[in-house]
Amino acid sequence: MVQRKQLFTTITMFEIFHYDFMVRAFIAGFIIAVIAPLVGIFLVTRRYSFMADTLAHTSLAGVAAAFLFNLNPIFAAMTLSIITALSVEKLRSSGKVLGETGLAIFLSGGLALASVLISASKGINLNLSSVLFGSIATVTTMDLDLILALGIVVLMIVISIYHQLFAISLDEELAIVSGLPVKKLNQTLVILTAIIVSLSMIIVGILLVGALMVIPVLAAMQFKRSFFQTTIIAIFIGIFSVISGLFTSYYLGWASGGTITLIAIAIFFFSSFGCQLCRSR
Amino acid sequence: MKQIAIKIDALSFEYQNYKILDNISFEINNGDYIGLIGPNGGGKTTLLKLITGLIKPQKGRIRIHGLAPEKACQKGQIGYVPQRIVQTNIQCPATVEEVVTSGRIHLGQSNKAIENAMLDADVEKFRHRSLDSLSGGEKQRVFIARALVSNPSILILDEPTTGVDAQATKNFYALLKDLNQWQKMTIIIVSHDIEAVAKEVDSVLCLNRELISTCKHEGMKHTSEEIFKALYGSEKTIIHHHHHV
Repeated sequence: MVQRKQLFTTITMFEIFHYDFMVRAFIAGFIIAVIAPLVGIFLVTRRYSFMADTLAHTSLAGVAAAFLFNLNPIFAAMTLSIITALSVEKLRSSGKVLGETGLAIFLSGGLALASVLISASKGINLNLSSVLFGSIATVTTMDLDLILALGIVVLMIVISIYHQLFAISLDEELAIVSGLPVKKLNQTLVILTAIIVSLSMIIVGILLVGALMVIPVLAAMQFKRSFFQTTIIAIFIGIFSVISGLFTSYYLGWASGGTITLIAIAIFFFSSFGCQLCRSR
Repeated sequence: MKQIAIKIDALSFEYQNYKILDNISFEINNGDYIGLIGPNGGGKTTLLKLITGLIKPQKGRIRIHGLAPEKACQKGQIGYVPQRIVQTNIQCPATVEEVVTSGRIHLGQSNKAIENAMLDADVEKFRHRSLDSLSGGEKQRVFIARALVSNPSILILDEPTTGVDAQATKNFYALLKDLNQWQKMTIIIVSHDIEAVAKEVDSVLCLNRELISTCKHEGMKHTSEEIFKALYGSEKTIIHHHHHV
């Protein structure tokens, strides 16, 4: 009787995979869960965590422009965020504004542009809630192909320049004196961030994209391990947050982005508290 | 005859119409151990940044073994320990080994070079510890190991003993002396601690926007008062030593 009950529970649990849209959401979510913390660790360590949020806000303008001019939303968001990312990086490296303060201009500018474009596109069917907070039902086959292709490209690039990106995260001046092409590496990093932001917005939504890049990394950093181990732990936390978030979101009918982010935050607090407890013993 | 390691010709640099370096020329030979002293805002850090290629000169020329600074950096000829590195709370989770290894990424992995650098700087025993668990003196040695890992011919250190206790400072100077004497490494050290530097180095470069003086130990006692008056605007005491290098 107990065995039957367990079997029934298992079937109910995996019933989720009978729906094509859920399978697509899980595959897309898994890819994003891997690449978001993988790039996010370089943003966090360089005190550039708000880069993802800034690019997310300009992505919203891209999505609004796509609806207005009948373009592909992901491509439009990606183009605009890559342009923004390179502009932010140029402003930062010029030394005209300090670190994250430059991001404020583009963050507000992106949101302002988005609000103007949304107001101009009256009558056009833009589901603002799913764009802002993510929706698992909206991953199309084309979206999945794009996420898969670009996800692999991002993964390959990061693996090939992982040590260089670590060196610039540790200290940019030291990296320059070590003969590394720091300017090109910085540009590559912000372009990768822009791509991930545009790809992630379907699952977690524009307002919570930054969370997936930053919170798993912050949680992993509590373990005080090597940079490589922190990266791996962050990826696992990202995967756990996304997969459990998608399950919860499906069964409870909650917004996927918010659920995933809340789970990631819970893991952060658990790891922070747990690690502190271990160290104090 | 010694070969020239660093040659600087008529170097000038200004920032927002404020002259930081004014028409500086000097040469440093291979194997020299140089102390660079001067007041705050005298241009010491700017000079180091120019030599390491972090900033470009507006006038004049710098050559490191006949190469432009950027090229010399690409060949791993310069090891650099920046001013703030020991005090900075680096947010990057990293072990000692990862930090040291990051110094020779562009030259390709060499376990032997990494081991040697860690042994030279005496950080091998805590290679797996995270950077933020180390004391100021230990961190300083880690960044020296990182600077040494590309087998540089020139080691440049900007105020490396700031925030480091007396014993660690003593050990640090002993390490520099070893590197200079046994590995014939050219060393430039910037310090506010004039007395400590004067005890250690072979020659001192005195900089206050323009090069006030270059002097060997033997010449220090003849020049000190005028130099320090010109450098700091008031008289400073300097300990005179006669080193046998």
